[in-house]
Amino acid sequence: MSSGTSHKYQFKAYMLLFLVCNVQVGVGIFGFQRYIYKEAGHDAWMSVLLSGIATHLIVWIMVKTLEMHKSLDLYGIQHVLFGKWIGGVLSICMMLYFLTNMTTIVRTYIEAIQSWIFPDFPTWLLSLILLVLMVYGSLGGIRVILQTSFISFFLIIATSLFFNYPIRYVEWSRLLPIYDTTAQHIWVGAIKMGFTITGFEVIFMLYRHVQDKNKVMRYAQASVLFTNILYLFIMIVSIIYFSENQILRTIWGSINLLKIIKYPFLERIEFIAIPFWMLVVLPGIMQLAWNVLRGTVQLFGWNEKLTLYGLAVIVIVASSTLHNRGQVNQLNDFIGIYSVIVSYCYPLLLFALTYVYKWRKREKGSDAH
Amino acid sequence: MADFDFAASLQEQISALFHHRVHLVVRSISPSVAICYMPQHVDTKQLHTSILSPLLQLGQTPTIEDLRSSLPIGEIMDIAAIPECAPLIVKGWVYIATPQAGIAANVADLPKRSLTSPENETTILGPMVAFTESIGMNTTLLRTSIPDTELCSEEYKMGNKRNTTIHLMFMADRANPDRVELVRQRIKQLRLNDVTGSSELMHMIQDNDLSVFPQLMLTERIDLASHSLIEGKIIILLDGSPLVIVGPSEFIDFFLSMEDRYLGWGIGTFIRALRMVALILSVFLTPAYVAALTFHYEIIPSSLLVSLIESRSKVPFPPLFETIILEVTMELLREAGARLPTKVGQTMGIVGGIVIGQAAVQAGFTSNILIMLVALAALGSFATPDYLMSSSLRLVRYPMVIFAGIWGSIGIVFVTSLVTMHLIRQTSLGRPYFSPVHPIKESDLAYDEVLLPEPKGLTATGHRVRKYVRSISLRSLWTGKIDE
Amino acid sequence: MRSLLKPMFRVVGVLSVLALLVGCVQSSVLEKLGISVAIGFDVLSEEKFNVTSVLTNPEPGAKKKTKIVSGIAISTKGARINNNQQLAHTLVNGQVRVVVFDDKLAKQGITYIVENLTRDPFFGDMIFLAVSEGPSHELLAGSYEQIPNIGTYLYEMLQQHIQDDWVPSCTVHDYRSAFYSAGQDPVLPMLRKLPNGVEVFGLALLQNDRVVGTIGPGEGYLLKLLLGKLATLKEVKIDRDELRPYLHEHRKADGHVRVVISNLGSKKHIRLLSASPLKFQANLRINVELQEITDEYDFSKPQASKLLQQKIGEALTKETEALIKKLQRLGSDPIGFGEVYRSSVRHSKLTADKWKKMFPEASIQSQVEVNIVRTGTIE
Repeated sequence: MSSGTSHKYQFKAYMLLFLVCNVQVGVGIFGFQRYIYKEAGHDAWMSVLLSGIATHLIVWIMVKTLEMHKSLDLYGIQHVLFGKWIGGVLSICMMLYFLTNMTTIVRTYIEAIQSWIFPDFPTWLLSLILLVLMVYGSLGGIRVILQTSFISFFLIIATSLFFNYPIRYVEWSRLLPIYDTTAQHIWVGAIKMGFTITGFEVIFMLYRHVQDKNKVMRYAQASVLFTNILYLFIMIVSIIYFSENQILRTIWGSINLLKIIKYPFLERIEFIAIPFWMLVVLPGIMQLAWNVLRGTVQLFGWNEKLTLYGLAVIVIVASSTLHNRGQVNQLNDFIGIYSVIVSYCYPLLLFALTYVYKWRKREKGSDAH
Repeated sequence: MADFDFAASLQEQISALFHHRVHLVVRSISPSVAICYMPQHVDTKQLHTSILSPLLQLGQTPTIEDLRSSLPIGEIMDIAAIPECAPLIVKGWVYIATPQAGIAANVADLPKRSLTSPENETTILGPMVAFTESIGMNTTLLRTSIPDTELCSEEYKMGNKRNTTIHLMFMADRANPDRVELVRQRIKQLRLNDVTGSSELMHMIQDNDLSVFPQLMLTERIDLASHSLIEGKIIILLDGSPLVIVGPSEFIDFFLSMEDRYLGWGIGTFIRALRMVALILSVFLTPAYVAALTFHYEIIPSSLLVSLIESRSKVPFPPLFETIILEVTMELLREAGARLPTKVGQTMGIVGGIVIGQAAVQAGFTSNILIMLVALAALGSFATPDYLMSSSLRLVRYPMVIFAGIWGSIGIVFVTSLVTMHLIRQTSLGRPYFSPVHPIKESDLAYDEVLLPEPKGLTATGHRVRKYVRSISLRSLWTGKIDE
Repeated sequence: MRSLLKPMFRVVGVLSVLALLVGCVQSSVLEKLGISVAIGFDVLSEEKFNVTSVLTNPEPGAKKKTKIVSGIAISTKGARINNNQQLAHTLVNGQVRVVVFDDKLAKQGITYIVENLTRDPFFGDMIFLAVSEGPSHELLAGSYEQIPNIGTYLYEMLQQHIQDDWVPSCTVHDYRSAFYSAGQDPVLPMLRKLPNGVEVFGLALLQNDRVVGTIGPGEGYLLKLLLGKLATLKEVKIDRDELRPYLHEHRKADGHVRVVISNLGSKKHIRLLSASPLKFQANLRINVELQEITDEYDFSKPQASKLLQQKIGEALTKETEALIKKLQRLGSDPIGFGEVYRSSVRHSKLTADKWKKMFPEASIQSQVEVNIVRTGTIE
């Protein structure tokens, strides 16, 4: 376990603004609307709002936990709180979680490309392309991840500007009457939203490498706020653009919203937007791979480059074994539940345990005197 | 005949250094003093007045001190052994020897070019002086443009055979000392390499020579070089090359021209934005055509559809081959136009560009829409001020076109991501090459890509503007008076 | 550093060559495609359709700009297979702009076809749907002297009408969003073949997905205004007696004065007055410019234009009420009263069937207020 942070991995706090939201906004944004709508009806935006507020709270708790541990990442915290063996097992679980997350993102993105643009593009080839890019980028170090997440941040903003075009076809009355469904439905919808909004748990891994740690809270919250506003905006536009049953039958809601855009020189923007979304997905999977690499280096001391290649091969093979949409959906549901647990419940546990741990240490310290 | 022997023996010794195949002039002044020089390398007038006449007035056996004190020449060097004088003689020095010792005096008048305007980096509003091949002249030009004492210049020699002089210039209070040290190390490592021209040197000391993108900038403009020095960059001058190396350079530097500053902030920023648009057009236009026509016909608006189909229907090749053929032809045209003698080049340009293009379309060899796109893309790539960078961009277009033809829009995105990440990974003298994220605080900015209006109050114009703005205050709107 | 990269280069090189060779994707080169710009569906018997595709003619320099292909099939994609059999180029649907259904098919229900067209990701969402009087095959395959490409012609004609005139937007999205909405029904334009062209002569009212009636341009105008969109020209008939105070007695002694107004902007306001009994209030406020009046009207007095405004408003109100009664009788709700009901009543749990029963019983009052902004450049 390296005690200090190596100089080459340090970056300034404002980069968190781009890094965190980049892992959150992956492929969930394409079709999250109908799952929430199924639960909460046209009050689905309330679920999104609720989910967003919960995210802000959890991020606050996460940063507080990290501040208490000074300069450790998730693996370090687990080692300290749970001891070497249980902490190690938990760390391995986290690494597997990150790996599965990567596979899900890669496979779902491939599914989007195959549904909309290239029905016969071989899955293995597309995952090979994605992972070759990921490996090339990761070999360049954290700087590549930082700069590409900046680029993808602006790509996300640019794409969301396109969503103003559907607004001329909307029916605002579809939002009314407000609060037409029960609180329980909204709550279940919020949990389903958690599947999509998750991703901010990477703060655990990034905190250690920030130079000015006192600014971490504000930039982490800003990043999560950006994602919340983005999802809320898209949800509201979807509710007022599609009618009730229409949205339930639309698998890729956001892409349908983009499909109608027509400029004099360009139509069918989804043919450009979906491939260029690769630039948004890339930094996300690069960060996840980097998280796994931190773990293997710290726990097992494996060679970074070889581990990276091995990771890439595993993800290519794993994503190629999923053959149809049904399996992809199953994988998404599976990882969704785990992401909600890891992102929302686990930090609470860590916070509580850290608090107890620090309190005990203070007691021991005062006893010693 | 002692003096005859001394001059003859001097000639014998010196020309032995050149394998006896050299044109030297050796003249004996007195039985114990002789001079040796290369006739075309010295300023004969100065030689006669400043060296021969004082020497001829000396006594029969002057000492080296007498010699030195009699010569009204500024640069005099002691020569310990005869082989040392050979490079100096070639450089235009005259070797004055007594049987005991020798000195060399600088009366050089080497052939050099007079100052001209820049050939390749022209501006409309800027100064019209470019560097020449003489390193002395170049260093002088830089020193006079920045008379500050912080401007340092270090001299190195490079090359086994060429022994070229290199000057390393930087501002001691602005340049990063670690980077200067890095450059010094690299130059020292290459001490035995013979370099022809700054470009070769630049490629040798670059961080990553495997990349097609240049990481250091070459310029022949004095204003650009002095501006870079003030910004804190390091300049390397090479004797015999009119281009100087400027580093560390960022990717964006290659798209900025001094012209933008001279045009003022509004027009300058607009022109810079235009260059960015040209960059994107030149890289993406033809691959987009290939991808749209090979895979994604839905993306073509219906008004263009009919004309596209009509123009494509006569062409026997798939869009990918058609595009590659046209791109290669365009490159051939450019290359031929660059290599041909000026008298022939003009005609060939017209013949190639217009006639061949027109004939190709009419023969059904290619579609006219594609010719227009390829021409636009070529124009876009030439909007880049730096020649090396525009060549790199033209090179990047080829894999993009090929991948667009194989994998459609996925291919385009693949190459874009690859190139972007490649650029991010590069460093220029240790400094990140391509960082879209710039520090947010203004004080961290080393320079400005977006020119802002002068902060009010700092310039004469600013003073006037401030007064004017203040005069149109809300109160005066109310009372109907404008204060002067 | 360089020596390390050499074996790396070889491995990467071999892998990439392999990938490029093996990983090829099916291409669809533009000029090898038969690009369909319009499709027509006619019902033949129980389950069979006659599907007509209008293609842009891929042969260069051909006199006819379009090529018509038709075939019989049971499913829509089956028809495409049939149609493809007659072509040298692959038939593709990515650039289809207009889909026309014949009136018989429209009476049976068109959702099945529309849904299957939407399933295809290459099919756009902003495609216009229309109903033709008589088989669509005649409409699309007919040779018109002045129309080179019937597909793009129909598209541009419908687009122009939707932008300025009395046809409400009839894209696939509008259709589906109305169909899937419990409180709204779709409405489609009706096309008729003329000897030398095509005309849009009315709107087809649908209940869910079946055509139940038609309305003309005048009623379509009011319908579009009630939907909240822009429609410009309208001719109004007003009884002469009502305007007598300001008319110069010249031409007709009795009968009607015709006034043509141009709509500059309108605001609609549909309110649910009470849930049971079901009562609505539909209000329209139009700002108009007077384009034409058949008699000489004295505008010099301010009360004159006020009277005219009032009379035009009354005439339009009468027409609106007649329209709404007709809609209620036919059982089609394109204006979206059901949507107003759903969004005003809590836990309404409105379904299409429920609304079908409730709508004819509703009492809907309408009020049209007209404001004459100007009378042109002369009085």
